Amino acid sequence: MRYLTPTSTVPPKPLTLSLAAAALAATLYAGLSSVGPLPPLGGLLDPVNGVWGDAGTSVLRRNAVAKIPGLTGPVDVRYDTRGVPHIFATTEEDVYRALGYVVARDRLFQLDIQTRAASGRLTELVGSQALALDETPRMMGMTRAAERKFAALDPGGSSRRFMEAYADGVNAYIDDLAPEDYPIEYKLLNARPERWHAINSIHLLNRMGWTLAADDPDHMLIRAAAMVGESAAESVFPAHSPIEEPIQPEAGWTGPHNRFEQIAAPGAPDSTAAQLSALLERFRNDDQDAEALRSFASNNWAVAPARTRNGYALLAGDPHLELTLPSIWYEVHLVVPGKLDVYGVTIPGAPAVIIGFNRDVSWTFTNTGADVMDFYRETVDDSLNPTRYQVDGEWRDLVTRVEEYRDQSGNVIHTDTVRYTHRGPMTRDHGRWVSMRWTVLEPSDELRALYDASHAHNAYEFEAGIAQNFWAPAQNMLVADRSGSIAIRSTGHFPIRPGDHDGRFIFDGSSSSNDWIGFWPVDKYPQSINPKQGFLASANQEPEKPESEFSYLGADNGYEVWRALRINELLRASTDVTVDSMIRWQTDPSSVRADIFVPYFLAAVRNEDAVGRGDQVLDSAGVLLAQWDRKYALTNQRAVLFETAMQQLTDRTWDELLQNGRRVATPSTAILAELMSQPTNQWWDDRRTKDVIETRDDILAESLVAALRTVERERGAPNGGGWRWDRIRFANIYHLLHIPAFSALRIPVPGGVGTLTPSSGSGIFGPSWRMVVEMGPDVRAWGTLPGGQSGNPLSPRYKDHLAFWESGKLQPLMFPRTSAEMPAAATSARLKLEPSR
Amino acid sequence: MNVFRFASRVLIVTIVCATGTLWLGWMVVPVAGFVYGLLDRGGRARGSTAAIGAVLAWTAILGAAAARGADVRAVAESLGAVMQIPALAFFGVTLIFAAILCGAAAVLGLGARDALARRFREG
Repeated sequence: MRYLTPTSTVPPKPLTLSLAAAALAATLYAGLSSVGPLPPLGGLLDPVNGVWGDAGTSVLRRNAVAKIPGLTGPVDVRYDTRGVPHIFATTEEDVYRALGYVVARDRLFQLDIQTRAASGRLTELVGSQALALDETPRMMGMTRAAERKFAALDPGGSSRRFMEAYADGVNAYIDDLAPEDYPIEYKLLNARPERWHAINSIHLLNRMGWTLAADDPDHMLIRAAAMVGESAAESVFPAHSPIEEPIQPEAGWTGPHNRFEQIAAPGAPDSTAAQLSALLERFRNDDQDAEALRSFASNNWAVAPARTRNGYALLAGDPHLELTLPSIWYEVHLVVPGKLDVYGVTIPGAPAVIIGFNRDVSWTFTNTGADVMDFYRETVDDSLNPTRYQVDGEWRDLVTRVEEYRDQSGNVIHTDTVRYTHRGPMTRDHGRWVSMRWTVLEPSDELRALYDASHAHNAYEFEAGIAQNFWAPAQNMLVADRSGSIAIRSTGHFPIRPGDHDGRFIFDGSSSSNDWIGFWPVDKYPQSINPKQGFLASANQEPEKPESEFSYLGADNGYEVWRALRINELLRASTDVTVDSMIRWQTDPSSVRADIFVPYFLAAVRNEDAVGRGDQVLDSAGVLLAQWDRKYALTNQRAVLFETAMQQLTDRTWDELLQNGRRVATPSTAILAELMSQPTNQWWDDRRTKDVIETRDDILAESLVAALRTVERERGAPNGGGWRWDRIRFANIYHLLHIPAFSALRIPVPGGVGTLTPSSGSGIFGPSWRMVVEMGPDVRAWGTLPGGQSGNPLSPRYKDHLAFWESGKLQPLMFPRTSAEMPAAATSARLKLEPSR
Repeated sequence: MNVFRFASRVLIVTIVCATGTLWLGWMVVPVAGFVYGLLDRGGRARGSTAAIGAVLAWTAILGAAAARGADVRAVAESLGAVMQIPALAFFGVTLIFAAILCGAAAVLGLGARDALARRFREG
C-alpha cells in the first residue's frame, strides 16, 4: 500500500475535481455517442483507426499482393498513369474476381451505398431518415424482382458464375480490410462495409432501369387533360414530336421534318382525368424545370469510313446522367488471352463492361425512353386491406410480401405490406388501388447481353447478341466495327398492347383483355446498319417516323429534340470527319433551339413596334438579343437574356396548366415551336389578364421585356461582366453523401438547354463519360469522366480527370494486348492477385 | 519537480498513450491518464503532464504515419472542410480531444488517490 500514502503535493480542490469530472464526462460522451450530425468523436479522431487512418490509403501502393479465394491462377493488375486497372487473367471467372477486387479497392463505399439504395436498405446505413428513399424501390417491386431474376438464372450460366466471381473479389478485399482502412465515409457514418452478395449486381441493374425507364409520359398527359381537357392535352402532349429527325434514317430525308398541326385550344377540365391523375400521385414529379430535365440524356453517333479523313469508322459516346463524386462509371481493361480483351466503363457492382470497345467493335448507348410502364385500376375485395382482386369476373389471390426496414443496429423500424397482382406491385392512392406492369421487373439477363457485346467480332454480332437478352432499360445501341460497319438499334423489350391502346392512359384491370399480349419482335425494332448517309446518331429522339408500324415508343414526350437536330446538322455538313472534330462536337456550343426561337423574338419586337406597342425597353432587349451569336460559350454575355426570355415565354404560354401557382405539366419546346406557327392560337392568351386577349407576338414581347428587367436587376448592366455565361451556368458534382467538401461545385460549363453538352437547372446532370473510338487496324480511343478513378476523397485520383472534362478534352486510353506491352513509365502501380491456399 | 523529472513523466505518459492507442484504440488514453494520476506520487501538475503526454503521443503517431508516406495533410484539409474549420484546427481538435481525455482523467486519478489515502489513514 506504499502508493496510497499521502501525496507530496496539495490534493486537488473540489472545484478542480468537479471541472475535471465534467470535462472528462463531456469528452467521453462526445467520444462514444453521436452528437447532432457528428459521429462519435473517439472513433473519428483516433489517430490509428479513425479518419487519420485514411491518410495511408489515399495512394495505391506501388506494388501490392493480395489473395482471393477461388482464384484459379495469378492475375496481374497494372494501373496506368490515369489510374485505370488493366487486368490480365487466364480465365474469365478470374478476370471478374479481380474486377470485383479492384473496384472494391477504389470504390468500396460507392459499391455499398448504391446497392443499399437499389435494394431499399439505406436505413441500415444511415437510419430512419432514409426511410422514404428505401420505400420507393420496395413498393415498386424492385427488390422482389431482383430476387426472382437471380433465382431464374442458370447456375452454370455465365451471368451467375461471373456475379459469384465478382462477389468473391469484393469480399476478398473487404475481409482483408482493417478498420483503419475503411473508406472515410464509413467513419463519418460510424458504420462498416457490408459483405457483397452476388444478387447485388441485379439490384444495381434494376436501379439503372429505374433511373432510365421509370419516366412515364402518362402522367403529364393525364395531368394536362385534367386541366384543359383531353383534346387539348393530346395536342400538346402528342404521341409524336412535331419536329423530328428519327434515329432510324429515312431515305430521302436531308434534314429534320416538321409535322405542324393545328393545336387544339385549351378546353374545360376533364373530371375523369382528374381522378386518374390522383391515382398517379405517387409518381408525380415537380414539373417546374421540365425542359431542363428533358434536355439531359445522352448523345451518340458513328461515322462510316467514307466520311472520315483516315478512312476508319469513328464512334462517339456521351451518356448524360446524374453527376456524382465518385463518378458513376469506373474505367477498366479486362484481358483473358484468346477469350476477352475489352476496355470501357463499368458501373461499380456490375461484372461487365457496359460501354466500351474490344479489338473489333466499339459501342455506346443512349436511352430510348420507351414507355414500358403501364398502370391498371384494380377491383379489390377490401379497400383497406385487400387479399383478392377481380379479373374477368373471378377473384384472384393477391401475393403479399412484407418489407421490413431496419436501422443500423438491425432493429426493425418500419414494415410495409406490398401486394402483387399478376401484373406487378399494387399501390393505393386516393382510395383506389392501381397495379403496375413494367419491363424492369420482368425476368431478364442483361449481364449476358453485355457479355455477348464484349465478345462480338463485328456490328452484326454485337446487335444480334445484345438484342437477345437485353430487356430494360431500352437503349439505342450504337456500334462501329473494324471492317467499317456502323449500326444502331433501339434495343429492349417493348410491350404489345391490346387493340388501339398505346399505354398512355390507365387500363381497366378487371379485364384480362387489357393485359400486354407480348413483346415486339426484334426485326420490328427501330434500327439501321450502314445507311447510305454514312452516319448514325441518337440523342434520345423519336426512333422512327410516326408512319412506321412500330411507332409508339413513348419517347416523344420524354426528351427534347434539339440535340439530335444539331448532331445530324454537324454530321451532314462534314465528309472529312476526324477524331478531333468528334471530340470538339461533344462540347459544341451551338443550339438549334436558339436558331428557331431567336428570330421569333426579334420579329415580335419589329411587329410590336410596327403597330405602336413597342417601347424603349423592348427595343433595347431586341438589340441585345440580336447581338447574340446563339452560342453558349463561357464568355458569352447574351445567352442569359435568351434563356430568361424562354423561361418567361414558357411560364406565360402554358398558364392554362397552372394549378395553385405551379405548372402540373409542361409541353416540350418542340410543341412551343409548333405553336409559333399559329400566332393567334388561344394558348397564347394569358388567362390571368382578364380584359386582354394576347397573341403570340404580345407574349414574346412581354417575355423579352420581363427577361431584360430580370437579368438587369439580378446581374447588372449587359456589358458589366455579370451576364457572362461562366457566371451563370455551373455543373455541381456532389459527393454521394452530399458533403460539400468532397464535392466539386460551381464548375463553369459551356452549353445551355438544347446544346450537345446540355447544362441547365441545378447542374447535377451532365456528360458522365465521354469517349471517341477510331476503329482502325489498331483500335485507338480517347475518353474522360467527371471525376477520377478513386472513390477516396483524399486521393489525388479522386477528381484528377475533372480538368479534362471541364475543358472538353479527352485523354488517350491505353489498350495494351499484354502486360508486357505496358512500359514501366506507363504503370503507376501494380497489384498481384494470387489464389489463397 | 525539476525539468528532467517532468520530462520523464511526460515521456512515460507519451509512451503508454501511444502504444495503447496503437494496440487498443483511443479509449486507452483516459485510462492511462487516470492510472497516471493514481500512481504518480510526486508530480505537482498531473493534469497538464498527462495532457502533454497524450498530445505528444498522438502527434508522434500521426508524425510516424506521415513519415511512412501517409497524406496526413489531406485528411486535415478534407475533414477540416467537412467541419468548416481550417485544416490546422482539425489537427488541433484531435489533439485537444486527447489532451482533455488524459488530463482530466489524471486529475480524477489524483483525486481518487487522495480519497483512498485518506480512507487508508483513517482505517
